[in-house]
Amino acid sequence: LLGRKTVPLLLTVQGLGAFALITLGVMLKKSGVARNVMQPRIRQEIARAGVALLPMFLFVALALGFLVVGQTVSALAKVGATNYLGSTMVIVVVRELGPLLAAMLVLARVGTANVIELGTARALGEVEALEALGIDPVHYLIVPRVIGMALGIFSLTVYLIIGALGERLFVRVFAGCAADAGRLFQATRRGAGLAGLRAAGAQDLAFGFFIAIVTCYHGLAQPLRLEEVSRVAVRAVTQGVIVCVLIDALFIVLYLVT
Amino acid sequence: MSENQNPGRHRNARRERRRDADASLTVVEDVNWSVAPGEFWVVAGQQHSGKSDLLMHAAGLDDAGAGSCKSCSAATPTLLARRNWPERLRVGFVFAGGQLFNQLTLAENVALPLRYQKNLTAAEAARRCAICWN
Repeated sequence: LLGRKTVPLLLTVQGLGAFALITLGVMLKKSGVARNVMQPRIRQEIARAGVALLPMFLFVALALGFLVVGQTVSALAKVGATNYLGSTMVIVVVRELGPLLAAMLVLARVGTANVIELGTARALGEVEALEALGIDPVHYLIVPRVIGMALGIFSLTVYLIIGALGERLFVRVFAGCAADAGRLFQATRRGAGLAGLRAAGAQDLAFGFFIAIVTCYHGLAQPLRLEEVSRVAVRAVTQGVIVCVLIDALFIVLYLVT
Repeated sequence: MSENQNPGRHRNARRERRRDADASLTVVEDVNWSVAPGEFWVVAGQQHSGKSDLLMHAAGLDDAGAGSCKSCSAATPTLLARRNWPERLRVGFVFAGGQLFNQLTLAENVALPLRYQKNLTAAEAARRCAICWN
């Protein structure tokens, strides 16, 4: 019974690892190939995984600012622990909630669409058609999605954090507490530090890369029938969530160690 | 060359068949096929006699279960390595169903391999394709 669950899990991990390495290899080896075709596709994917989600992210940023930052500021002020404001903001918004929330939203909005698009393309024989035209399907279909998602999640996290913290600053300034706003800004900047911001950026890029790998792997790497696409989409999103949590856990360990 | 209406499905079915296949069964053997410029060939045979397998191998789109296959006087590498194989581009393959990409226009579908292989801009490819339309 244990083997029945474990063996497919190990095979999936092996398949994902191999697919990630193949994609990285193609990204490096074919970085200069067909630039006139690939650059518009990459821009299109960045727009899809980044720019198109901006309105939703601004809404989420305002909600995050109102709920999390507002509650934290209010709770810490009550117990006179405003000294911890910066580090709390950094841990909650910059390190944890911002990147993870951005990754989950992009997984839900773009990752699902990826699996369905690629799964349908695979089932309809478009991958074979690309091979017949001498076009590498990994280069043409996967590389733009990986780059688009990695840069999309990175940019959206930056906007999410700026939106969430900026909203509280705006509220404070608007309420005539400019000194409070300045303190919040300074405390957050001190708490984050350059190394912390770099690590958060690396975490965002890792989220984007692995979400794209998981969703593209399930959509493209295995032969599919049309009726299997929905089931595979559910599996890909579930594994995408697990991968995001694992990456988050890995970065927490790195934060604690360094 | 032509293929059936849904090559993706057909290929999946073929892989499933291959898993249960009789290893002693030889589908294609001792075929030496030369196609001269301007020649028009028809490959005919009974269902499951290996027509599609022959065409897919000739176009470099499938791996032989056993044995070897040469195309354009060169031994065909494995399917993965074949993506970078220059001889592969000397054989064109048109699926019976067209297998066009829905997100592209007809002209963009025609221009896609030209743009990808020659690194042309959309305008350059459209100009070259316009010569063909006219």
